[in-house]
Amino acid sequence: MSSARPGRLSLLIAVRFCRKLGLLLGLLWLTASALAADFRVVDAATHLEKGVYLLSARLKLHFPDGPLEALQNGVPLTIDLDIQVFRQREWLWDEIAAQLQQRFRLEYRALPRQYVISNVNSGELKSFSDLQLAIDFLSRIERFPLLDASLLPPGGSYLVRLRATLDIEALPVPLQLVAYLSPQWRISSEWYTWPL
Amino acid sequence: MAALVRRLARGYRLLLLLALLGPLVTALVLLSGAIENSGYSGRLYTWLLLSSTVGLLSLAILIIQQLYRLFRQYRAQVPGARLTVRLVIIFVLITLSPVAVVYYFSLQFLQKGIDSWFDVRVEASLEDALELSRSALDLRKLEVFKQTQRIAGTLTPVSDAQATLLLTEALGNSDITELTLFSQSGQIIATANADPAIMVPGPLPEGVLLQVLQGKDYVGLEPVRDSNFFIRAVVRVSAQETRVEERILQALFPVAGRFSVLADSVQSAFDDYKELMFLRTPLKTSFILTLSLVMLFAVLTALWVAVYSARRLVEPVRDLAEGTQAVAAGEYDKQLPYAGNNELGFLVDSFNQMTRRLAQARDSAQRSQQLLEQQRAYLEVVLARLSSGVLTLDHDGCLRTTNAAANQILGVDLSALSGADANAIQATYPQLQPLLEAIDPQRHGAAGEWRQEVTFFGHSGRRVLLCRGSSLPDPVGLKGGYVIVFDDISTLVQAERNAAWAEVARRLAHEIKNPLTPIQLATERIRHKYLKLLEEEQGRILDRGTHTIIQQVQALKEMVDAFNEYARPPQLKLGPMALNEFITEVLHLYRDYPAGVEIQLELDPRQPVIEADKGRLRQLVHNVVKNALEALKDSNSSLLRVSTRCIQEAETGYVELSFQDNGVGFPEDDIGDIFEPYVTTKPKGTGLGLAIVKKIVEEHGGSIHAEAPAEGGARLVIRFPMRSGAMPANPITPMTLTHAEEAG
Repeated sequence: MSSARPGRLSLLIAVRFCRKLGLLLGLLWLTASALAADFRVVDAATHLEKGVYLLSARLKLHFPDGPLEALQNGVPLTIDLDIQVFRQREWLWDEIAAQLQQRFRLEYRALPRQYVISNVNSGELKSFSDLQLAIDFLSRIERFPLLDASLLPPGGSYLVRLRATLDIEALPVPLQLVAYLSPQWRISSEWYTWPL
Repeated sequence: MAALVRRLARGYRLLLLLALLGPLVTALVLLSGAIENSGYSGRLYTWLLLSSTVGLLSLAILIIQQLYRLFRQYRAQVPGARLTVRLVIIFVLITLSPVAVVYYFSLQFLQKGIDSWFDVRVEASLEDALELSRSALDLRKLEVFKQTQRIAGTLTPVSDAQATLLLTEALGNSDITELTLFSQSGQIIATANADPAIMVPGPLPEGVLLQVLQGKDYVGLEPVRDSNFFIRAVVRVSAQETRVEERILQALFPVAGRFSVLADSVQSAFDDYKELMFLRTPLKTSFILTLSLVMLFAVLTALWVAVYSARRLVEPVRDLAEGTQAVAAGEYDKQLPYAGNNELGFLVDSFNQMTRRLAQARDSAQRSQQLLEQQRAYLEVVLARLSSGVLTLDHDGCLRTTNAAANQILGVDLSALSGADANAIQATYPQLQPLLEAIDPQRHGAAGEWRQEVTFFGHSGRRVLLCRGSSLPDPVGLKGGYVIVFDDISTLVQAERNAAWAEVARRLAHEIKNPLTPIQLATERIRHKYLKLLEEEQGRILDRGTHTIIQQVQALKEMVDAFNEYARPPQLKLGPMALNEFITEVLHLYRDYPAGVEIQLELDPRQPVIEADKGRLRQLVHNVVKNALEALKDSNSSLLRVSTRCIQEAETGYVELSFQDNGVGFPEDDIGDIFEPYVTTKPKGTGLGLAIVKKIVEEHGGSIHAEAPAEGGARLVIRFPMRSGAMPANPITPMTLTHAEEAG
């Protein structure tokens, strides 16, 4: 149940081709270039501990130059971790049993020359003197409490999938248009799926 | 109905446009608001942008559709399209020029306005402020670091158990928030916190621990929440006898309140400025985009308003143009829809009034024409039912109208000759010449009524017409034309004559014939009784006298018989008769006539056939020939030429039988009266010969007249109507056959 990374060359061709099609094919282009993900879920797993499912995952987060430049200039970047739990059904489509989103904001503070990661959900702050350290922190999810086992009806098999995305809509308004039109900014990982 | 559908369709389109305009305006307002804040509407920015674009595109499509329709109407030269196009162009020019100017200056203002936000000096001073803050913080950090090192120095000789007490003491002597002693693995050994509620200290950051373990002490500024800082100082506590390994001391210092606020202010100002600098181009793009969208909206709306109002304005004009065309095409019922309470509406009202009046006028004209037609038809029916023939001529003598009876009496179809003058009529129907000749002098004569008998030879033989004419008064419309009414009185005339002659015959029989027999008997008795008594001389006188008396009485008897014959009502036994054979047969009897008279026959080779009573016709020929021979008795080299001829005049065909001699001829004065009874030029004749001939001819529906040929002598021409269907299709030139019959 792992996602294969698509060939880079074909992606490049696809991106160039789509660029040529221009604005009218923008929608198509949007979907195609979304595959040019610089985010990747390397692996992820859950384990049950004291009746709570804990999530551990390793991500590979690579920011292209555009977002990095924006970050250096004080623009905060918001990274969303989307987690969905599915109940598999035999004859029907899979049912979403639970879903949650973790939002992290990465920003650069000029005065202390630090990169600060804040968990938007909890308000927790972490500061790093080095960008790589901050990204490494974001790339590692350990023992994140996902959900209570009691919330899931017993029996039946469940699937979990995880995705990391750069949230464009959280960007400053003037940048949103650029971000939507440029593939650099549309960063999202493929869904990574594994059994609960 | 069509107008209603058009109105509904237009209303629907209007509704659609308004439904589009409302959300579009809202989207544009939200869009301009979204760019200024990054709150909730900021998150919607892209969607707003997208929906505005889609809305504008729909608007554009609707307007392009309208413009295309207008263009097509213009090409098809639909009434009003030209004016609409012109108005649209004017409206668009009027609205677009100010919009374009405003747009241009707005763009300039936008570019320059945003650029003017940024200044190198501002940037430099912000950098300086940041640097100053950093220096101040660095001083503070150094101070904090030294203080921490001092505390760490005091901790060196102390055992782990005593550390908590010492830490609490140190905390009390300073502004430190939290003091924690960690083992090298990061485990908490002792801790003291200014806030007694916090029992568990914050963990040692991994990176910091690593750094300290490598032998480098750490002091750093760290954020707490969004706007506050604290300083974390981490130093080693060296090992000694009481402890085997080094300990790590972490001290958390607050940044003084006012200082923190200032530093935060400097930082946020710098961050904002930096962000703005970075976002300058996208910001401009966004502003320009929004402005352009608004501009586009304004232009499209103006365009739509232009098209819509031009249409509204031109619609009554177009209706008027269409209405005028309809009226020109004769459609007088055209009514235009109401066009509002303005000058155009007034015009439309006037148009409607005009078409109503026109329709009324047309209807009344139609009614009067119908009435006229009815009257005319009535008049025609009356004329057709008249037994008298009616002709009308205009003042030039051209034929205007005829009725059926006229055609029937004249035996021709005059209705086809309407408008023809007398010459043309005569050229077509030569047999009408007597009638025309009778009418002509009356036309030129004095106005008033006239009546005249006219005899002409038509298809059914000789006809006597009683014509009455009158000039018409001017107002009738023929400019002083003439009307001629005529009746066929042939039968009447015939009957009158027959009656007259029958009376004569009766008197003759009564008054003359009755005494004749006693006279004859008495004379014969005188002769028988006294002839033998008288002497020869006297006897001869008596003999001669009585003989004369008897002879004359006999002659008188014959005369009376002839009168009887004349007066007898005709009992004709008509049958087809080949005229040539008949003439040859009858004239054969005169072959041995003693006098030297030559009889020539010129017979038409087309073998004319007539309807005739053989006996009566034989009597006719005998009478005529006897008459001629008597006239030729005294002359030398006498010649009697008898000829038959088929003649076709217009649609009437007849057979002409003529007798021509080279005798003394008729007296010129009496040539018109020779057919009357008792008219004779011969010393010895009853005067009934030619009268009976004429009677027989008339019994056969023929005509007879006498002519005096230029070469001398006399000529009798008899015409019989040709038996229907007996006329050959192609008349050929008659060949003359001569039968010379020599006497003796």
